[in-house]
Amino acid sequence: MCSDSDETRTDGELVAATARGDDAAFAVLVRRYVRQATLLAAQYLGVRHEAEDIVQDALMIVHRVARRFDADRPFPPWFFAIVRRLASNRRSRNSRGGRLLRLWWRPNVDEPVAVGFEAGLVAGIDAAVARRAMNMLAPMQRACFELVAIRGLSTTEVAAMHGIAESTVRQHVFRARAALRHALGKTGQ
Amino acid sequence: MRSGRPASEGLKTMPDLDLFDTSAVRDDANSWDALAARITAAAVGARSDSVLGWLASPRAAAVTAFSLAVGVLVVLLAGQNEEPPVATAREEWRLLLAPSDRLGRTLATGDQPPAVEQLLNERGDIR
Repeated sequence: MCSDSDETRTDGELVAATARGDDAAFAVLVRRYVRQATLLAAQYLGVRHEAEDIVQDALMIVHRVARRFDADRPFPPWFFAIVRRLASNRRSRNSRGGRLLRLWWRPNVDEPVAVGFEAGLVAGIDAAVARRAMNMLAPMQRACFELVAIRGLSTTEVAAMHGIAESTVRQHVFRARAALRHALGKTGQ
Repeated sequence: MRSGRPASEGLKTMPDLDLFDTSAVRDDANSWDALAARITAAAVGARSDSVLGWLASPRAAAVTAFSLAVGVLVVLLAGQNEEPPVATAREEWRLLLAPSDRLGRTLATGDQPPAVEQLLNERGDIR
């Protein structure tokens, strides 16, 4: 089991301990990042169980190559880049496989589809209206807005997750808010 | 109508990538803990498997055989370098220098004088 001191250790210390075979340290690292990583992978894949597979693969890579990690560099960009790469590869494979199946085998293949915007997210507004408004946003605007405004992650965290500048995240969230306010205001009239 | 730069401008990664919303992902601490435990167990288990896999590999067999050979060699060399005990060496010299006939050998190596019967029986040999 891990102690309180494990929870307060820096990412670099935890990765170094993982490299030395300290499984408790690795467990702390997993708990620290599993939520963000799963949300990120889910944004790429749209299906939770696939997102969880990707996160597992990414963390197993971290576990295997921990000794190669430079402890002087921040861990989140390195780790989320692995998650993004794996999720992107899986997404390409899924779409390629889906296209082939659709062409050659059976007409109706279940591909991951964008799930609906949570009902009741915006109090007093019809879920369908909210979904339409969200779908009008640019993909990255929607992704950043969701992670920051709905999931409560910081702009720093989201920037590391998507590999973009923090100012860009803030810009996306700002524009998404403005666009949603505009769209929902129009439908309310 | 919105003004300014397009929304996708400024993105460093995959600006055209459509991203899904995550409403299907349950956001409660228990499910995250369960997922974290599962991933940790899988990673630790994979390392154990890889250790066992390495042990079963031809390289591991070669390393084991080499280690055994080195071990046997070390034991043999250590055995050769051992000094024989002083008492044993003295005993060996005494046996080596003793006469070849039985009486002479008894006189040279025995702790007690030979029996009279033996002296009488050996006289023929001496002659």
